[in-house]
Amino acid sequence: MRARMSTVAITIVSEAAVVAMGVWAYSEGRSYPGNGATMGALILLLPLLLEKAGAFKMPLFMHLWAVLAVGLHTFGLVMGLYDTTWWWDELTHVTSSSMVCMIAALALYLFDIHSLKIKVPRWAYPLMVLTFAIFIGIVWEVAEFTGDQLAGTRMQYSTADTLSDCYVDLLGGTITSLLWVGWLWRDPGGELEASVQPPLIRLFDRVF
Amino acid sequence: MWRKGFRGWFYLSIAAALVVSLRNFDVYWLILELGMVAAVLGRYPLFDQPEEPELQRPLTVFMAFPFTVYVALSVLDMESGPLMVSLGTLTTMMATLLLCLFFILILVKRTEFHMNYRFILGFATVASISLATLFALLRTSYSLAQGTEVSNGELMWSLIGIIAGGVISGLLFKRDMRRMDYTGLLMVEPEEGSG
Repeated sequence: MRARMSTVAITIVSEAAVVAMGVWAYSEGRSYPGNGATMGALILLLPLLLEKAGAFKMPLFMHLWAVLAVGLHTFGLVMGLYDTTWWWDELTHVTSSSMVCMIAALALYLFDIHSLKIKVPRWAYPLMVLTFAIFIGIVWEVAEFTGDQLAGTRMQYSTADTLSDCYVDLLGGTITSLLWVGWLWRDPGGELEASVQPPLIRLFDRVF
Repeated sequence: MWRKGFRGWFYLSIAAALVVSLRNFDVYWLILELGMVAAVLGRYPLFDQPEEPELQRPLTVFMAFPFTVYVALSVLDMESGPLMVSLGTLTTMMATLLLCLFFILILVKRTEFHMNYRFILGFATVASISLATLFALLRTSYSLAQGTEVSNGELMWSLIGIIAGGVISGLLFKRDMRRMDYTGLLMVEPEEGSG
């Protein structure tokens, strides 16, 4: 299936930037930021691949948000900002968690529209998004802890750092909740409803 | 007919757990217990027909048993050691799952919010992990504010225990529900005129 021009353009520009940062990190012998950039480049390919497969058209603002989240994380890794700038970790946590929560909210919205068995009223979104924000936050922290224990990645600095990360994830979920109930829920351009494509709808029906 | 022995255990476990958590200032368990008491008194979903024999199974496994273990661990002073800590975490998560199921079923039954039973159980599992995590974070923050040292490893292992306990509880509920044939418990239709 043909992808939208905007998806292709955003993917090319973001991939170029993230790959360049990765190449720079590897060229200086710094494999950890390089690996982070490689992972980021793979994640940024997903919207284009899903659209080409005819499964999911990521709304433009969400695509840009994902680019921002991955871009800030990679930039921070490559420039060493996680070690030198105290608020960088909080900034990346709030953008990433709000992004992941936005995808969760969109999934709920699509279930609501396309399933007879699942109905999610507007007031229930904050409840479910905040629940998900805490959950995904600790899954991430456990992944960091596992990386630290098994590969010595030093992603977690202290108890206070872990706590603040979790609270900031909750803040990201709150921002998404407010945006959702205040604005996105109305789906002004019809972009949210149009994001899911027939193969994915059939999969929803089969599974649920 | 609800058997007398079970009824006695049911109320005794709640009463004993309330005394233990009040004595220990255990806010999290107090919330669990008061939620259950509200459910019993309010006859909300899961508790709205406690005389039904099929309800004895989930109430025994996910309420009376965890409450009894909680009281026993506290009274016998067995709250240390990896095995006892794991047992305590698992039973706490089992009770938390039941409380979350109870709240979600109220929403599903009394509002326009609607889900099928797979979603209800999945969401209840995630909600139980999130609720327990939130309290673990608040407890750790309080300890740090009081000047008590809590290592990052301690916090992380407690969070790992919560995730594992929550997932195991969810799977246990699903397995038990299917084997003991109480799947219908989670299949709640919205009341007419709700929302």
